[in-house]
Amino acid sequence: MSNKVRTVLFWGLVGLLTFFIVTGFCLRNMQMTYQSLGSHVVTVMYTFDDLEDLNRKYGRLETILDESLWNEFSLASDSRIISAYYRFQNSPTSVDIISDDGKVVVYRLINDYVDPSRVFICDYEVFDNKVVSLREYEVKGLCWGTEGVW
Amino acid sequence: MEFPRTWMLILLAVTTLVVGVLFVFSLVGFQQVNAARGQVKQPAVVLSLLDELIAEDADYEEILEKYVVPNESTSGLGSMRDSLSFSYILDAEEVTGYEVIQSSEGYLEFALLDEAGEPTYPLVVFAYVLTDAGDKIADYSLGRLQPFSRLHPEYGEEWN
Repeated sequence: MSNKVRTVLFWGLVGLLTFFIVTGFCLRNMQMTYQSLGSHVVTVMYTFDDLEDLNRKYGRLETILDESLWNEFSLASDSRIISAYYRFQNSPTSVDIISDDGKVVVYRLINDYVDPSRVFICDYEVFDNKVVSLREYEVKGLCWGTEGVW
Repeated sequence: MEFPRTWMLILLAVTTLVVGVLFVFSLVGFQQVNAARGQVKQPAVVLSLLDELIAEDADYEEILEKYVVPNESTSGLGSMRDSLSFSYILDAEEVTGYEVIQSSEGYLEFALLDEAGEPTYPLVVFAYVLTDAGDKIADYSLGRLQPFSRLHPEYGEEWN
């Protein structure tokens, strides 16, 4: 093999290797973002020792949520605290994620005032690394087949 | 001295091959996640189950036997029948159809439609696992979706 061919082959392989590494890294990052953003939002929202602790940590959501969504879910108004957090009676709360498929997070809440068998759902949409839509539900009247999916 | 040396080329070729295979796996994984983010076409068995349950003269017992693997305790089947009869949301005869709100693999959220074709609340969630053959529902969880916030327009105190 001539030296010229060897050189072309060498730099060709280096270029291909660089392409695989850079593109693969970006794809992996995007995949992880899609899959974990919903879980991250739910974890920030419902992991706290008390309301003071929640207030301290809640600001992290501002960079993840779309502006209009942040306005809706911000703790600036008492209505969000009363409607979503009153049930926790200001006691330590954490989240047990059951699944997150990039669109729907299914989870349980660990809190002295919340029955551990209750199942919660958060539907979300991600665009440009930000959550642009968020809908939170509790599953009521849950029934199941043999063991159930959750 | 020749550059690049033969052993360098071989090492580089092998490394490129290995990284290339990993890249393909990344690409496939990304495509799967991307596909999951879009509306997923639900399996025929799930859609047929809902279509038949919503029909006016639905025989729940027969439909469930046709689409759902019976479990050891019949109470599971019974509770699904009770829940899917929609009587807890509306009278069965008032349900004219359903509208899929959210779907992913093994997961379906839908709103039942009233006589005017308008969605009714609460939404219904149906998570399921199919049999290996994909022709029956092996296991499931089913419930209503009560908004987390009491201020949400879909929130209904009567569902608590």
